Amino acid sequence: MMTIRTLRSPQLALGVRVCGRCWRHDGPRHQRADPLGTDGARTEAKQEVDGAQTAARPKGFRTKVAEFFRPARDTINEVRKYANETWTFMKRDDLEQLMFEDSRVLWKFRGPEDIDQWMVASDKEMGGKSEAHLTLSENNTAFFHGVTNLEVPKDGVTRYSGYAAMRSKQQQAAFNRRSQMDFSPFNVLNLRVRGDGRSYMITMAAEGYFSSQWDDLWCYFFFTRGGPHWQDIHIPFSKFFLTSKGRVQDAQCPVPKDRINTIGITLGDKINGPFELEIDFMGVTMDLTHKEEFAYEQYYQGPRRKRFTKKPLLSTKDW
Amino acid sequence: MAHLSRIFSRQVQLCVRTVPGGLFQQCRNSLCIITYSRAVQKGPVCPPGSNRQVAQLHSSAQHLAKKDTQERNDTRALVLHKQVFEDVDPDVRTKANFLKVLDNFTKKDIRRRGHVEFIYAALAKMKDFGVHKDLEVYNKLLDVFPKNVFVPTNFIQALYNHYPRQQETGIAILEQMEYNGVMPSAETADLIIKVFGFRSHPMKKFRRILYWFPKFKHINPFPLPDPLPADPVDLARLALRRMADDRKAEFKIYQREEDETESNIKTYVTSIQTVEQQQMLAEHPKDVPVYVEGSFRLWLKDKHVYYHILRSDLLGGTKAQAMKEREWVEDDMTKNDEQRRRWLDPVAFVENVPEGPVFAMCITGSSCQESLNTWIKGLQEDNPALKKIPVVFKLSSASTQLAAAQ
Repeated sequence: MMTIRTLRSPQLALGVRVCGRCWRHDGPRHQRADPLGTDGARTEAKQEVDGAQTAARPKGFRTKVAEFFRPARDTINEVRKYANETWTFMKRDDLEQLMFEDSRVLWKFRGPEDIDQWMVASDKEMGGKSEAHLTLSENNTAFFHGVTNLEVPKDGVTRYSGYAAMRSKQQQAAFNRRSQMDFSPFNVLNLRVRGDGRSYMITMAAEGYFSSQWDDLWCYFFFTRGGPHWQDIHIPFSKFFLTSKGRVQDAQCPVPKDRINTIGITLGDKINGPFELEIDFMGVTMDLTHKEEFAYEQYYQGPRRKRFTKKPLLSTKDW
Repeated sequence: MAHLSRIFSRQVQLCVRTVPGGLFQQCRNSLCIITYSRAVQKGPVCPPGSNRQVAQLHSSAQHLAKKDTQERNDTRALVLHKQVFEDVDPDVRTKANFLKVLDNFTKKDIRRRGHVEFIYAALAKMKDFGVHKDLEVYNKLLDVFPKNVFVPTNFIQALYNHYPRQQETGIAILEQMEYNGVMPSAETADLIIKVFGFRSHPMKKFRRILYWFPKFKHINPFPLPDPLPADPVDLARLALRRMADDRKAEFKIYQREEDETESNIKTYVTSIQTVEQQQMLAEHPKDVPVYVEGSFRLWLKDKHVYYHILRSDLLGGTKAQAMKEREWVEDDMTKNDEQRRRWLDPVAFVENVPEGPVFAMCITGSSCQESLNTWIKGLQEDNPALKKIPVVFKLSSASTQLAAAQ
């Protein structure tokens, strides 16, 4: 049950597609039922396109040689990437910046490069009717828009619906490892947005060692004013509360700033209708006037062990 | 024999008898059985466990049911729990009638047979009756549970999830309260303790609600009154004040719906303009046109209004306002060196999206040309400079992008 994600097969390191459950084979043996039926359509279309071209010609010697050496070539590329990373890490060119910087701009949406680092999801994956799109607006800013629909998909299991989300893509290091973002010098998240009056939620996913932590998401709400003026939003990291699979957890802890995988913006405010959110930039700041470490109680909330309490062998209480 | 009697008692547990009365219509036998099976396949209101019981009932005891209905009268027919709610006329689906249905159930049987399924049906129907945000109704729904029966009396019962289906139902009631933003009261706590005991799952859920709701109740920096005003002019005032974000902004109603106008369309025209915007409009060069752009959508809770803005293109000499830079700078090295300050605090120096200024905003009942003309005429009285500036109308429907075109 508590699977440790670091023990991975060589296939994953070299980018070979594997089944996410057992990491051995690839393909549909453990695949979940696909409500939209898009997987079948995709593979069929691909077969059509590829079949026309590849069915006629047999593989030549050059292609066979290239295919034979491809794993070796991929490995060498990954080794090169890894060497590059290690060298950058050892050089520490950015040491002065890390020591003195007060803020960092994470994404400045002025062109398609930063938009490509984000991906969009909505309840369409589970058969819902919401739509969400992330495009470049006419002002060269990120434009997250779509429609939320509260109609619950009729599969007998889902109870609520109507959400749309955008999430930053996972950064990758050499050998397809996940690389995290480090915000430990900062304590406030900044956004400049122009919304339509609806309330959104910022979510941060951190790297977890155990499988029970893989769905952990630290969240907080932000409210848009609406209207033609831009709005600056500052959310300290101490305000983010821990949720897992959509449920707020009892045992709260502050977001681990040094190992954040993704940041996202979600909309799930139980309203049927279109939404529009324009994002200028997203950054982090160190605000020395903000002294709060964590906004929620962290005391132990479990049962009190009165009987059968383990006493230490040697008590140093009276020394 | 024992098997048959068990099925019989299950039959009574799952169904409810129709009560002849002025409010309810008589149930038709044949339709009930068919709708029963179809409804079961469609989407269960009851928890999944009861479907198995229903299938058993249907296949093995159907002959019993038929024999039953032949011998007895209409009032002992199979009826779904939600049928009791659907029998209420759509015109009279009020809180009082909802409570009456609950009362009928509680007074009928001291043992409250079938209360789990009944409560699930009631939860599903609350929105129809318009009581999904009413605390009193949720408390009455918790009152449907029999008291003291589900409270564990020894440590084995406390250990092993005592009466799990009933606890799930209690949690379902609290979850619907949480979904609708209803804050439970001390009476809710009393009821949960009487029904399930203090160390139960519904009580844990109640304590979680009591912890988290107050944390998030006042975090909205743009709060709106609850309920929203019904008068559209009041709603427009709320919306415009929210968008202008200036206490000294002047909110004006240029036309009300009742006013006599030349045009056929009778609507209200409201506008807002801050002092700075008035000054900027006064300084605006006379040959550069200003644009009326719209309509854009603004959401206020679950209602939306459409607004138009008066803006112009970006002029050469305007000063870009960046995010407020940190005022205190520590060392001499950084104090005079703007390059270094930019390097240290890039967030404060992110350049603004180049956009022209906004001079005023308006909300009209119908976003039609005549109402916008009225708005411009009203603005021209307050801003004499506007009489000489050419005004261009760039109207589009709100389904297009929110971002104002450059």
